[in-house]
Amino acid sequence: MDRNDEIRFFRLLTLKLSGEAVDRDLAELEALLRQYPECCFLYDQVTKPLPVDEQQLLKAQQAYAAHYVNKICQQAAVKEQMPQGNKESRNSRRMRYGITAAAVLVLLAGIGWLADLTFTTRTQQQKTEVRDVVRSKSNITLPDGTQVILNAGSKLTYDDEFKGQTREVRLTGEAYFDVVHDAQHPFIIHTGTGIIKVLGTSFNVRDYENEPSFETTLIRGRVEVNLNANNTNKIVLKPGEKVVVTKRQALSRKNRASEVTIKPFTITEGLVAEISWTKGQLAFVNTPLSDIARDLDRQFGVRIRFQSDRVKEYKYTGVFDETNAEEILKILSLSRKFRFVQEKDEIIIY
Amino acid sequence: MLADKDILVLQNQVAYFRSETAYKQLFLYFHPRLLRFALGIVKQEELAEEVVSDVLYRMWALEYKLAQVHHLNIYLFKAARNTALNYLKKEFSQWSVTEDIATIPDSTSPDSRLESNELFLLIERAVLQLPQQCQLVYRLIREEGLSYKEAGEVLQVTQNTLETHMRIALKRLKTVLNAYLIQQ
Repeated sequence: MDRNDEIRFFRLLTLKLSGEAVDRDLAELEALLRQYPECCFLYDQVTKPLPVDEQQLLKAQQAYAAHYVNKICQQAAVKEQMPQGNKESRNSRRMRYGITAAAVLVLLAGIGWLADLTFTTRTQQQKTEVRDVVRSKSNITLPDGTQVILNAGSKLTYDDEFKGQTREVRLTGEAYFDVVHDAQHPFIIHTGTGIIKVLGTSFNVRDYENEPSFETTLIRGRVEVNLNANNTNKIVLKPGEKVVVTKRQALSRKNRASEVTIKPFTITEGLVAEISWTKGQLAFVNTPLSDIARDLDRQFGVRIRFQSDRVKEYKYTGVFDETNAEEILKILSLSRKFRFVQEKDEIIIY
Repeated sequence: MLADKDILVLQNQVAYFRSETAYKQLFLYFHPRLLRFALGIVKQEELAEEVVSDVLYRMWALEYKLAQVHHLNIYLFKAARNTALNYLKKEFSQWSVTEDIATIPDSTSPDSRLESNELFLLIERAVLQLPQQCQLVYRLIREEGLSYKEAGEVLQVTQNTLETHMRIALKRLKTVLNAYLIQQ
C-alpha cells in the first residue's frame, strides 16, 4: 500500500472512530477501501460495535453495592448517638469522602451473650474491648481508619495500635467492616469458628454462637476463609458467593468439603437482607420464625417462647424498621397466621 | 450508550435532587468505562477499582456543584486519569508488591475482558502490547468513542499527537489482523 495513502487511510479511519468524519471524509474512506481491499478487514474489526462485557457490568454492580453500603454506614455514623453515661464509647462520626475501602465486611461470629453492659478498660496486654450495648449498634474507628459498625450483642477486640505485619481483630456477634486498603498489612478477623483474611473489598460474615451455622457472603473483592478446625482447607470466595458451614461439622476434625456449601446469592436481594441491620432495620429472606424470634430477642431484648413447633417453621420474608417486637410479630402474623401473647417479660407464640 | 442529553438529565437529578436512582445509572454507565481506562494506566485491577470508586464517589460528593460540570464524560475521564497517576505515585513510593495481589487474576490478561471471540482476543492482545499512551489513545477513541477534542483534553495532548498514536495503533492492528488472515 502506498505510504501516503496508508497515512491518509489511518487518519480518516480515526476521524470516523472519533465521530468527527464529515461526508467527504467518509467518501474518501470508501474509495480507499475499494482501492485497497486488504484494509477492509481492519476496517471491519475496529468499526464494529464492541460486545457488552457481562463481567464488567457485574463488577460495576458489585462496586455500586459496596458504595451504597458505605453510604449507609456514613449516614449511620452521623445519626448514631452516644449511649448514656458511656465515656469510653468509640462511636465515630467522621464523614469519609473518597472511600478507599479495601473491604466492606459484615461479620457475625459466635456471641457470648452477656447481660453485663459495662465497657472494660485497657488490660495489661494493651487490648481494648468494646462491647456493644444489647439493643443498639455502635460505630467504631480502628487505629488504621477502618470503620466498624457493631450490631447488638456483639463484641470486638483489638489493640490500641496495629503493630506488626498484620492488623488483627477478634469478633463475636455481627459487625460491618469497612476495611482500609493496605496490602502490606493484611487485615485478619478471628471469630469463634474461623479466621477471615481480607484480600479484597467487601464481604459479609455471619457467625453467631447460638446459631447453628457460620456464613460468609462476598459482596466485592476476595476473601480467604480458614475454618478453625481445618487449616488445610482454605476457601477463597469470589464476589456473589456465599459459604455456609454447619458448625458442629466445622469444629470436628473430619471436615470434608461437602459439609461446606458455596452458593450464589444475588447482590441486591442478598445485600438488603445482609446489611439492613446497619440501617436499624430487620430483614428476613425466607427465614423461619424461630430464627426471626432470635433476632427479635437480640434486637429488642425480648424473650420469645414457642408453644408450637409447627409455627417455628413458618417462613417469612420482609424488611422492618426498628420499632418493637410486638409490632413486628403482629405484621408477620398477618402474612401467615399465628397467635402470640405478652406475659410479663416474655412473648409466647402458639 | 447514554446520549449527552441523557447524561445531563441524570447529572442534574443527582446534583439538585440527590437522586439515588440517577446516581446509580450514572455509576453503572461510567464504572466499566472508567475502569478500563484506569486499568490502562495503573495496570492493577484492585488499584483501578479504587481509582474508579474514588472518582465516582467524588461525583456524588460534589452535591449541587455537579450541575456546573459541562462535560461529565470528559470530567470523569480526566479525574480518573489524575487520580490514577496519583495512586501510581503512591504505590511506587511504597514498593508494594505482595502475594495478595498475585492471587488476583492478572488484569492485563485478555480473558478477563471477553469470552470466546478469537478475533477480539487477538486484537485485545495486540492493543495491550502497544506503548502506554498509544493504548490509552486507542481505547479512548475507539472504545469509548471520544472525539479528538475530548481525548485531547483528557490526556492533555494535541490532536497531532493523538493522530500519531492512532496511526501507530491501527498500523499494528493491521499487521496482526493480516497475519491472522494468512494463517486461515
